[in-house]
Amino acid sequence: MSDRHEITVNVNGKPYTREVEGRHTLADFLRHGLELTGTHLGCEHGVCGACTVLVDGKTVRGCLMLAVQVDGAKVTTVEGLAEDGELNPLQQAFMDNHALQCGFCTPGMLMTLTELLADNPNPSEQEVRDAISGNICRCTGYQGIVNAALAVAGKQDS
Amino acid sequence: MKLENSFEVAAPPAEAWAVLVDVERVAPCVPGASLTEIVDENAYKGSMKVKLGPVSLAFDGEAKFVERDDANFRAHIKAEGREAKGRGGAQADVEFSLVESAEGSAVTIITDLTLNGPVAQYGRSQGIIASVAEEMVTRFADCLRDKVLTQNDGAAVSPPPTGATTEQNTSASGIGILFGALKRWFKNLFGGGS
Amino acid sequence: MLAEFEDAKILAGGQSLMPMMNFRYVMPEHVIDINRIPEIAQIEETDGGLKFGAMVRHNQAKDSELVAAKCPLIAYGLEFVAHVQIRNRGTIGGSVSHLDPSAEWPALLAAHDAVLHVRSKDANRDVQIAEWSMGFMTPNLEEGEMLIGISVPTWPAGHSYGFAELARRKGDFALAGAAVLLNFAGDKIDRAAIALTGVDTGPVRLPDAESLLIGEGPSDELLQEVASKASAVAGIDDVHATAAYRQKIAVVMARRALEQAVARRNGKAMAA
Repeated sequence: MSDRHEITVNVNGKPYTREVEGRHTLADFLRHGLELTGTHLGCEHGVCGACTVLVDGKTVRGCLMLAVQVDGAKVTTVEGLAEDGELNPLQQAFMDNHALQCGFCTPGMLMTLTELLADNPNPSEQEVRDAISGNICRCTGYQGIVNAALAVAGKQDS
Repeated sequence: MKLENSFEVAAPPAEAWAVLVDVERVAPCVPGASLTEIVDENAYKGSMKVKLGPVSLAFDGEAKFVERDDANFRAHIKAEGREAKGRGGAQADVEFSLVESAEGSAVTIITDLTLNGPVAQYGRSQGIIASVAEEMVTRFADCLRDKVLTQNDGAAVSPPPTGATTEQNTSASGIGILFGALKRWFKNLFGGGS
Repeated sequence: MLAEFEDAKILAGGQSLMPMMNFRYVMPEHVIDINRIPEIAQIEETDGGLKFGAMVRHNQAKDSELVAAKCPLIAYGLEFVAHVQIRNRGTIGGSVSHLDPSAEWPALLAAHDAVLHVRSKDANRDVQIAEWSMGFMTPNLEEGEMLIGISVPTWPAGHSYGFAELARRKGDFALAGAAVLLNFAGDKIDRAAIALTGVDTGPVRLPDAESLLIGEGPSDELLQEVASKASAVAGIDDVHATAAYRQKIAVVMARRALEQAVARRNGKAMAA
């Protein structure tokens, strides 16, 4: 049985058909197969959140899924957030609230908060902190990130 | 790591010893083991499967008699194996000895086991390995008693064919061994301390 | 496929298997992905309980109205499982088959006396949760068998519950945790279940402690006495904590979970 599989996956609105090996993770596929390097690899065992992406609207660890598993699915990465080349409100809020320094955790943070704000447009500070508990940041101390999320929450029409 | 195990069988020493050193005959009783080649009368090649929780390990290697004293029922075996997927290796220096006992014969096995590479680090390795070894010896002894020695009254028992691979007891590397071994290990570990 | 392939691992949520594979700790020859079998991904109401397909995701159960109504302990306990990204993919079947000593699901199921449904190519069998753990991360599954569903008998409507665990950070593996179910008849407790996690190779029920509660009103002294029975567990010694520490924490978690259950009975919401 060949270990190569053809998959068709929609990433950030664009369909891709590629051949992947059974052992390729989703994160490696996005980074190497599709050259979408915004998704980062921190720990490669599911604890740091740097590889967080959305699959069919839900956040997942890109390092803990196999590329073959997204055949037929819709994947959203950080590259898919900007609207017509403009930072979306969450990204702008990150800029405005000093929510990133080195930027390594940022794509994962953005994807996690994108899901949170879609499911819960007006979260409390505790709910924001609970939501990002699976994303580790070494630089900011998290407050800027929380502020950015709350700033967007405040501005959204519920 | 030093392991000491022992068991008794209801057979007189000379008879028990003859069976014990008949590797082809007893190999099927070693849980998870397969004999793949008989190199010569003192050296054998084989493999051993062991499961520790979610991890399945398979060792390929060889064992040879470096010393054998049939008159005094003592033997020294050196065994060496590499984990099939490159996760390290194991070396075992095993001293077997047998003495007469009330039940018939008492066998003592003293193993000096060295693990290297990733397998040496697996989780709670130390205690689990001792328990798995203990359980393997218990099953080995039970098998000897039930299957090998009971057929020993003069009647010829055909051993497995020479040189052929004998796939034995693969289920032994599954729940049975592990359950018993780990249950005992945890009981021992925590029964005394607190 | 399990019967056909030797050295195969089942890929359910992948939140435990993939990390082990990424570490090259587990290196199966074959991986069997069961994510596209909708028949085992449902939560159904049955006569007397709920049936969870093995592929039900943690968040699917946690956010289910049916689960919140019938098994509120499960809906609440699942908030303590890892993080949102893990819960979106991780499954009840995977958690229970992987059987990490600190997993929440086994304790939640043990409190309910759940029954596990196991299938192989040719046969089905049922296993009581009390008989599920065979040792360290070793469930009662033979070669070629797979867990396909879990039946959870529900407690009477209006029953009370509590869950508490101690972890260094939210979402970390618990050092010890307790799940409690209480049913009241008037002011007295007429049914109780206490299940611990993190203290042994499988979930631990405390029948002696439970029987102390029956027929009694829940006074502080009684709850403390009952919780203290939790120290009789084996405990686990590892880099995170000693067995002795876990035994101590188990008592505290049991008490907190009991207090929550009592507070819920009185109509107050309680923080964890």
